[in-house]
Amino acid sequence: MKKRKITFLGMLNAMLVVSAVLLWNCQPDEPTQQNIEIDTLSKLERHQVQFNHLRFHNDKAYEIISELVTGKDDHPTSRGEDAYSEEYDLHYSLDRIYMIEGDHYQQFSFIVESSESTNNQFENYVLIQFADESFRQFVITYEYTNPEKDEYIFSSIRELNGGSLISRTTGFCDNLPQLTPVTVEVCTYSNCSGIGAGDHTYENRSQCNCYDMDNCTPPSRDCNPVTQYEMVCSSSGSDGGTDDSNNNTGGGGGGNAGGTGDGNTNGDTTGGDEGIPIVPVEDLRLSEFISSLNAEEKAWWDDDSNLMFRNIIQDFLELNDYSDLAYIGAEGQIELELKAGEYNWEPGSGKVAGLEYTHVDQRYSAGAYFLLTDGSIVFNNAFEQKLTAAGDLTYKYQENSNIPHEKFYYIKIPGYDWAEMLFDPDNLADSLRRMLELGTYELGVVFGRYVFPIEDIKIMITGTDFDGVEASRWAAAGFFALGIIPGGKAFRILDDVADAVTIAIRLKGGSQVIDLTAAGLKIAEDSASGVIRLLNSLGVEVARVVDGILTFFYNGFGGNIVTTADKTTTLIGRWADPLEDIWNRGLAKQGENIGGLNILGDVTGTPAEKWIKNKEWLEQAIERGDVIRVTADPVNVNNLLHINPDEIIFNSFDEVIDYMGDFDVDSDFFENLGFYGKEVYTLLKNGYTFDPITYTFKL
Amino acid sequence: MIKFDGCYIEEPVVLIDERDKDNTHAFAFVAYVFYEDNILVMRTKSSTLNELLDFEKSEFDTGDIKYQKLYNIKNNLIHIPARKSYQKDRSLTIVSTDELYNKGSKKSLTFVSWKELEDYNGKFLFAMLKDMDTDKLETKFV
Repeated sequence: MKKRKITFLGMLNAMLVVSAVLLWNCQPDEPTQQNIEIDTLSKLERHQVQFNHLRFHNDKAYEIISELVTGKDDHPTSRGEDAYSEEYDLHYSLDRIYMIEGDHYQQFSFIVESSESTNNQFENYVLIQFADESFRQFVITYEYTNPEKDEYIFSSIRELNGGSLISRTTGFCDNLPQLTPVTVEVCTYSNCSGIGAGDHTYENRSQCNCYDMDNCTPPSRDCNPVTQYEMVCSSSGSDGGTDDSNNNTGGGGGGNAGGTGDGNTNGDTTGGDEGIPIVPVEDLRLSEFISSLNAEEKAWWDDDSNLMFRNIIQDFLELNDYSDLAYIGAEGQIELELKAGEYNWEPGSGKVAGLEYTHVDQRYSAGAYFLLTDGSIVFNNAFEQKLTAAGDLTYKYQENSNIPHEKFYYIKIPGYDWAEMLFDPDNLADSLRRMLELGTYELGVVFGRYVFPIEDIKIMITGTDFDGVEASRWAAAGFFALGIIPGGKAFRILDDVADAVTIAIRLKGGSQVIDLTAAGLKIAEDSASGVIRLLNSLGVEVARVVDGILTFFYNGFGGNIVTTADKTTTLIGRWADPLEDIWNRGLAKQGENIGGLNILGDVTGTPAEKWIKNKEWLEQAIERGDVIRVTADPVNVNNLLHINPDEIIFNSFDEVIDYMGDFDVDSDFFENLGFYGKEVYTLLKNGYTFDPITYTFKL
Repeated sequence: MIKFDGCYIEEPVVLIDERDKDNTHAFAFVAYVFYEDNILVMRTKSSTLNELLDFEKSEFDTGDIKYQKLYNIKNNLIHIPARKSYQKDRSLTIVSTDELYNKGSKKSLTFVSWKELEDYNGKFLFAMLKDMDTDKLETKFV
C-alpha cells in the first residue's frame, strides 16, 4: 500500500493575536516541519460512529449535526442530491463519522463537499466539543498534490459562525492546524458609583470623588483566568495576516469566548496545554483500490457503460471501510462482470435459495445457473456436484440413476472456486449456527464450503442490502433475525428475534457468538436508537450493545463493565459475581477478544497448575496491552487472600503494594493469595498500579 | 504451657474454585512452631488432597525473618503483636498443651510432634483430613 502523506504548503510567519473573543492564531514554536506522516495522526484513537448512534456518544453533537443536515432530507444517513445543507452549501456523507476522544475534548469529523470544491480537493466537517461543553464547527479543505491523489495538503479552514462560514483561506497555515488552549486573563471593570462620585472608568479612577467620600464605591477590576482555544499552526513555521479577507482576528463564535459581565474586558495569554489536532478524514481509498486493478479490470472500471455497477462497488467498498474482505469482494465482482459473457444468460426473475436473480442459464436439464442481482452466480442441481481441476462443476457421481433427486446449491463468488451452499432454506437452524461460529473468525470469506455472495457480505456487515432495505434477502430466505455488523456497528436483529437461538454480536474489532438458550438470554433491539438489549429470563436487561460497545450491567465494584473499542478488556476479580455470570452467559471469550471481554473461564488442575495457566493468561493480556478492569475491590483483603493467618486488613491500596512488595512468588505469602490476589501481585510486579477512578490496572 | 518439639496445626480451610469444572477442592493449612526464645514461625500450605504434603521441621528452621514473629505468653494467652500497620495484634488461647484456640480465625490448633510427623511419612495432613468432617470446615471460594 502506498504511504499516504500530508504535506503543507507555504511558509508563514508567526502571529499571535489575543482577544477576549476567539482568535485565529499561527504560532511557530517548533522548527519547521514540512511533512507529517499521516500515520502519526492515525495514532490518535478515532472511532467510526454511525450517525444514528451518535446521540449515545454525544447527544448535543448529534443535535448539532442533525441541524446541519436537516431540511432537505428526512433520512440523513442516505446520500445523493438530498444529502445537502442549503444553509452552508454542503453535501455531506454521514456514512463515516469519526469520533476522536481527547483528554478534554471530543471531535467529530466527516467528509463534506461544497459546490466550490474541485476534483482536486476534499473537505471535512469538524465539530469539536471542549471541556466546558461548548462547540465549534469547521469546514476544512485539503488539496491533493499528485495525480494519484495519495498526498494532500491542508488548504483552508472555515468556521461555521451562526449561519455563515467564515473563511480562512490558503496560506493560513503551512501545517496542520490545531486548537490550542491558552489561559487568558479576562477582567471585568466597573465604574465608580455613588452620589456625587462621578461616572468615571477604572482607568480614570483618579478623577473619581470616591476616595473622599464614604458612600461611594470606587472603580474596580475583577480579573480571572479563562481558558480559550485558539487556532494555531502546529509544528511549523507559519505566517498569518497575509490574507486579504481575513486577518486572523475576530471570527469564532464558540462558547469559549472570554469576557464576563457587562464591563470591559482585557486579555493576556499565559500559554496553554496540548492542542487539539484536527485529523483529516480522507477518502483516498477508492484511488488505491482502482490502482490495485489489473489492466483488464481497469478498462472495465473506466468504461462509463459500467457506471451504475461501478457505483455499487464503490458504495460497497465505502460501507465496508475498504477492508481486505471488501477488496476481495469488489475485485471478484469485477472479475465476474468480465466473465459473465461466458454464460448464456436469458432474462428471468425469481428466487433461488432465497436469493433474487435476474438471469438464468438453463443448460442442464437437472438444474440451472442463476445470475443474482449482485452479480454472484448460483447453480442449482438435482444431483450433487464436485469441482473439477479446471474449476468447473460436474456431477459427483457418474451414475445418478439410482440417486433420488435432491436440491443442491452452489455459489460462485468471483475470485473463488465454486462452493457448496451449506444452508438449506428449509432447515436453517444447524447450518446457521455453524455458519455463525465459523463466521466469527473471518467474516465474509469462505466459511467451510460456503461463500457469501457480495450482497450477503454487505448485509452481514451493514444490515442493509444495496437498496438500503434492511436485510431483505435474509428475511426472504427465511434466515432468522440476524446480521453481523462489524466496523463499529452493533449487530442488529433483522426479523423475529424470538426465533434466534444463536447470535453473533459484532463488537468493535471482534465478535461474540452467544448461544442464547444456554445463556438464558433473550434479545431485544431498539431499532430507533440502535441499542441491542440482552435480557434474562425475567426480562431484566443484563447487558446491551451500542455501536459495537458492550456494556454489562454490574452493581458491584466499579459498576457497569464497558468494553473498549480496539482493545481486549480483560476482567479480573472473584469468580463469583460477576465473572461467572458474564462467562456463563457467553458474553466473554478466554483470550484475546478485541472490542470484547476476556475472562479466564476454563481452568483445571491443582492450585499450582491453575496458577500457571492463570499467569500465562494474564501475561498475554499484559503483552497485548489489554484494558485490565477489576470487578472486585483490590483493597479488600478477603478478595486477595484465601487464607489470612496474619489477620491483615488493608486500608488503602498503598498498603497492598507495601505488603506485596515484601515477598516473592516462592514464599508462603504468595501461596496465601487467591487467584485474584496473585493476579494483582503479578500486575504490580509488571509495573502496573491500580487506578481507583477507572477501576483498571494501568502502567 | 505450650510444646516446642513440634507444630500446632490449625483447622484447614477448604478452597473451592467454582471455575474449575472438575470441582477439585484444595485445602489450606497453617502451622505454628513456637521456639523458647519467643520466636514464632508460621508456615502455610495449600493443595489438593492427593498432592498434600506434610509440614517439615526444616521448613521452620530456615531463619527467614519473613516467617518469624515475636510472641509472649501471659497467663493462658499467647500474644502476637502486629508488625505492620495493616496487621492486627493477635492472641491464641492455650486450651491445653496439645490444643490452642485462635480467636481471630475461630479455629482450634492441634499439636503434632516432629516425631509423629515422621511416623506418618508425609501423610499426616492427609490422615487428619480423613478424620475430619470436611463439610464443617470453613469454606472459601477462590
